[in-house]
Amino acid sequence: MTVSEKTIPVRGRLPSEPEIPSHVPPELVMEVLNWETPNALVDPYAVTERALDELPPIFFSPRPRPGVCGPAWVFTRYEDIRQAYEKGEYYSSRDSATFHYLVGERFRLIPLGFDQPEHTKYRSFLNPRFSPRSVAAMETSIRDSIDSLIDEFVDKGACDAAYDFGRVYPVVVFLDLMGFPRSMLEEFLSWGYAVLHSHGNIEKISWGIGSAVKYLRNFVQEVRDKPEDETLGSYIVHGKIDGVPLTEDEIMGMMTFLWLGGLDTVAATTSMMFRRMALQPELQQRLRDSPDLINTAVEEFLRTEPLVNSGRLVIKDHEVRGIQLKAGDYVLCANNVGNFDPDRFDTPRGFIPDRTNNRHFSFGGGPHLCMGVHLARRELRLALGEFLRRVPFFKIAPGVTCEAMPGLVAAPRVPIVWDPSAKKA
Amino acid sequence: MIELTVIDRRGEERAVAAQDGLNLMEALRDAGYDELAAMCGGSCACATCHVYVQPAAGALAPKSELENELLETSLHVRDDSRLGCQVAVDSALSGARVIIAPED
Repeated sequence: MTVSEKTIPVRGRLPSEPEIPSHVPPELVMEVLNWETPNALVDPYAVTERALDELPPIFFSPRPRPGVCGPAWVFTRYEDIRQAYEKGEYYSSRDSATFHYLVGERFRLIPLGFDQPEHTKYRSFLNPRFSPRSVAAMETSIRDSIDSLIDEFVDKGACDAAYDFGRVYPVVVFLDLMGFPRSMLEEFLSWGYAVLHSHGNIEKISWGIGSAVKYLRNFVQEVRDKPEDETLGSYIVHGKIDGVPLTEDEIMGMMTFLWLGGLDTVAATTSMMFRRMALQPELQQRLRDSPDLINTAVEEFLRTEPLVNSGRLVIKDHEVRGIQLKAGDYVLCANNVGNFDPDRFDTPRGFIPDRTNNRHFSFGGGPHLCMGVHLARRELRLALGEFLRRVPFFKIAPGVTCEAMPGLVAAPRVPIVWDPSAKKA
Repeated sequence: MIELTVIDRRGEERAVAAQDGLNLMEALRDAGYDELAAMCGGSCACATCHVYVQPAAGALAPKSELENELLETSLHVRDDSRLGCQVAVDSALSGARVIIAPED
């Protein structure tokens, strides 16, 4: 496996970049150019490996990331990232994922857009719907969604594991959970794609998030006029905290946040999971031989596919590794490096399906740890287990290079083939 | 140090000396119990440091409303359920039996 030669830290100030705060030492201002470039490696994240040798543990990236953060300190080491997630007195997530600000909306995302103690209040309201108990009750319907997709292609000997499978089943689960009509699947995905995969193109992001917010406002109005039902959408629209009905802004903050979180991450992780198994046949065989490894293997797929690097806002001056951070600075937690920190993980670049003590950052960390963590895990475990049980040994379709992007776009196409006559069930 | 008896998910029992001033989740991590995921790092946000605590030296400080809510979301909640990150290692814990709850 060769690692791309394009890790070129660009030192100094780039033209047309926003103001870099005066306390940032010029020698720490640099940009990494290849972390989000598609490549054909078995492990697309291998491009971040040289960060440990070639970049300072903390550097300053002048490139703003619309909707995520402005020019930011990039934390690459596990321990620093952990502190950024866990130390709420120094780091706030209030400006994270503020794509809707681009279209003039000013409501705050809930719960991510709030710090303690408001955060806890909102999280307590939503937590029961995402608990292990609630997710366990969804297992049958998740499994049905997965199985009905497999039914469609299992006899054909070919499918696109990303487009036909990974992209679809988590969104179907999400639509059902929220009470959105299943007919919205393609439109939601195209809006979501525009928001999350436009590489900072403000027009495209604005179109995607604007379309979603407009749809959600109408949806909220419709749900309000109907009696309360079992869906999460209805629970929110008719919701009360301490006996007080949620405000319009609170409802939109929750609906928009769930919409952003519900579409893409499990889909992208699934696609990457199947891509890796197709490119690494001995791994696929091992998981087929030992289905009891599925739970730990899913965790290892998650660790090695850190799709999201989270932004945080510094809210109190302090020093990290001798560097002065000031209130108002942004921090980008480079989970795509921290998840492979050798100080934390043995054989960090290896894929170890039975790895234990696997506390990675693919769900973030601290109080804002992904609310959908139990749902995501269960979806991934079911998808992996059912697929391997029902679909014979597969490989990448002939002649396809199957590039992946080490980030949210992940692997939009993973065409795979198998021998349908080898089918077991 | 506070002496505890810890029972892991395989049912294996071991004496553990826990450092005063830590919380129980941290003490179990320090003692090598990696199976305690504690994903949120002790922020009382995830319920993955779920343990059953049977004190021997009187009652522990009561659970907060938030801890209770989180425990209620687990498939394995019992009367003696606690979140390790919310239990202080102090004399009230001396001699307690601590059982690591099944994974959710």
